[in-house]
Amino acid sequence: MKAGRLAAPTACLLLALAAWPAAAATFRVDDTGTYLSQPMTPMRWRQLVPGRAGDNTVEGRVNVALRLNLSAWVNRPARIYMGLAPTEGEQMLATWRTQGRLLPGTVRGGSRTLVFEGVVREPFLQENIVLDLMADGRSVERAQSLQFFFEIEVTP
Amino acid sequence: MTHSLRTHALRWHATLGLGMCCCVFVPAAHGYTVGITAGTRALFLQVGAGTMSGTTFNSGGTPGNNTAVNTASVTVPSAQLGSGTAQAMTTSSAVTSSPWDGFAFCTSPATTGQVYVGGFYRVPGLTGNAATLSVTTPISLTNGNGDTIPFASIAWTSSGNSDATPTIPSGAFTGGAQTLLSVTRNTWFESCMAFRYLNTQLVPAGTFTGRAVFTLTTP
Repeated sequence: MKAGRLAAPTACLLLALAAWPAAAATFRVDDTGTYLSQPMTPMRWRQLVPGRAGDNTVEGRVNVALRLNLSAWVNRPARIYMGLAPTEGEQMLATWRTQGRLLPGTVRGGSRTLVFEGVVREPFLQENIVLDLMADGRSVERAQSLQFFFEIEVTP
Repeated sequence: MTHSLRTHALRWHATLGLGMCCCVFVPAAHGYTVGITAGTRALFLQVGAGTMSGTTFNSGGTPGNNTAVNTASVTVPSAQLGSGTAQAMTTSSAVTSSPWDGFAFCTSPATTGQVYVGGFYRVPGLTGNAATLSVTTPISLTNGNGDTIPFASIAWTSSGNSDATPTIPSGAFTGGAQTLLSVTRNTWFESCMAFRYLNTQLVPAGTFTGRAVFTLTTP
């Protein structure tokens, strides 16, 4: 009886592992051909005047035409993440909207977010995203370069 | 002979073509870069009357340059001359509301003599010095005959509705440049200054004038 009770959670665990093996390999995705709508994105104070509440948020927006080279993983199940390298000072928050080929989401500096899960059908995935950037303007003291990247996880 | 030369020339071009193919090889990119710039710097100071396109800052208003110079004045009754009883000054400023949000910050300048003083210092970054609010006055107020009253004979009381402690401290002019407030980066400040003549000395009859110039300076 005791053995029977233990069998159910063990089975669930095994099923979960089978759904996405722990040994999935991760690769950086070649995004050659990706381009931005503007070379430099000005960060603007959400409220130029620091009122009594002291809103110090700065915001910026850029359109990104993505072109991901997935030719090495066609017809394979995969997860694709968009990541943002650690930023100076306060963490930058990036939020994006998509046209449906990738998932919308949010990422902070130093982390990544799932943007695709499924079988790769085409060698190149093209998508236009609207990228909104937000940070505490007191921490964005000078011009910076935000490094975004894509990672793909596939089973061996 | 001619044929042989042509062949040689064709080979040379082929070799050149291969070389150019090698030159245009583009390595794979594994990420894209978004360049950003910091927020802009901004500074604002209003003393007395101001100008605003739109209603207030927090509703999207844009300030303009207002060159009006408001006055604070008092006529001392002859029976009170030099009595030591301070004489409250009245002002030509009619500003009661904060340009930030329209809040009724000062109380009826016509009766209290309160002059609105407010502003902000906006700058990106956490490090660096504060801005400085200062006022500069001549040593004395003078009349047409060259008689003088020390500017230090004028003091003020700071206040503001709902302010437990006034932002700009109360004080008195010194007859020179003096610092009123260190304005922390990315903060809003405002106070209502009610001036008074200290009336501690007998002075000749006449109209004595002098100008106090307020300045907000960034590092």
